[in-house]
Amino acid sequence: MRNAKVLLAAGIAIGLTLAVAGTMLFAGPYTFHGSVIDPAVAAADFTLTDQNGQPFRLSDQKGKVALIFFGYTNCPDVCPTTLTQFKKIRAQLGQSADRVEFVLITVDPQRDTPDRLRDYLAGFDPTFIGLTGSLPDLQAAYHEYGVYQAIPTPGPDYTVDHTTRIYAVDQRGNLRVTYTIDTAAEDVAQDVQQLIKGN
Amino acid sequence: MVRRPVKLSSFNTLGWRIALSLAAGLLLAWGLSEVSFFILKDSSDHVPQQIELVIPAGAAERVARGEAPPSIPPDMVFGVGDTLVVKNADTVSHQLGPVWVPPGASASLSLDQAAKFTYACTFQPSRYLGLDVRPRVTWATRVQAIAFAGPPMAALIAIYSFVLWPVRRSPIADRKSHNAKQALSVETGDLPSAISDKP
Repeated sequence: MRNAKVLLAAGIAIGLTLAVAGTMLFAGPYTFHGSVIDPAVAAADFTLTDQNGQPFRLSDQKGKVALIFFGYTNCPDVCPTTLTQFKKIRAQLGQSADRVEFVLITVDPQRDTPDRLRDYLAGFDPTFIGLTGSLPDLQAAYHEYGVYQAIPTPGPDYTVDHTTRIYAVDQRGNLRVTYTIDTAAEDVAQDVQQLIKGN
Repeated sequence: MVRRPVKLSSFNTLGWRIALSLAAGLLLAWGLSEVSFFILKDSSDHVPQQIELVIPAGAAERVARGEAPPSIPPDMVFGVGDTLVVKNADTVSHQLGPVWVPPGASASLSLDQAAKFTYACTFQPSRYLGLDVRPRVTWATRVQAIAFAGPPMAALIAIYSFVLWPVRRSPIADRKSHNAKQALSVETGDLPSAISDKP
């Protein structure tokens, strides 16, 4: 009787071990949820000014994953939605969030001064980084990241048409994945976790 | 008069008739479902595969002149599980809806959900590209079709067979019923007519 119990326990243990080993062996590689740049390419470097008036150079951020979005503080819809997504992603990441930088690069440098960016981002998360800069520097960044930016109707309360993509740069400074803004925060967070692991 | 036991074929018993009708219904549903599947099957219903799209060098210039780049259809049909790989041989970045490709790089997207999109696209003169991701016919779909069509067909076959070849009562059942009646009459004191009529 005692032998039967021992055999049963051993059988269960062996079965569980085989199941886990099989899952690990046959599980495919991780599939990212966004559009994967494969092979990864070096993210175009830029130096802009953050909301505290300090220079921010992308290549200095190696060792951290960066999520970059191009938007502006007077944006009525997409930008606040994306920053809310950033907030959700940050919450999902938990402690790993410290290894991620959430960056907003303005497409409206006329109105988005460092002070304006600081006040605006404080409403979402003060750890988010807001970047502005000279028009040539910003235009170089727009060009490198394929960002479209235009003011369709100039006026006192103009809006800016712009690309709404999120770019994920890994810890080695490589551009790895891009996302449309409708990608679920949970999916982006999962991908970022993989990038943090170095996958 | 001695009643000879009549040997009933399996087809004439109720249980067998229902079982046979069910089997015939399921078989017929399976046949019809498979025939319809092969007739209606479209090109997107294949084993998940990688579909490559190459944006040729000079595509941006051609699009700026209003010409369509060669070998890029305006609408594309995929199956769920396919992977779209876009290779950009041009000198500027290009966008195909959710896929953004830096110059000289390639990007891939796993199409894991059925949907029909019209995407902003930088390498079509119309600036739009249709992308149709169709659900794949799986074993589950086929089993579901049989499960839906089989039982009603079986019911119809059963009804049809009951009308054409009514089920005869089994002589064993008749005898049991007769014996039960007799037993009841003895208990209540009423003699069955067959006995009481005897001289």
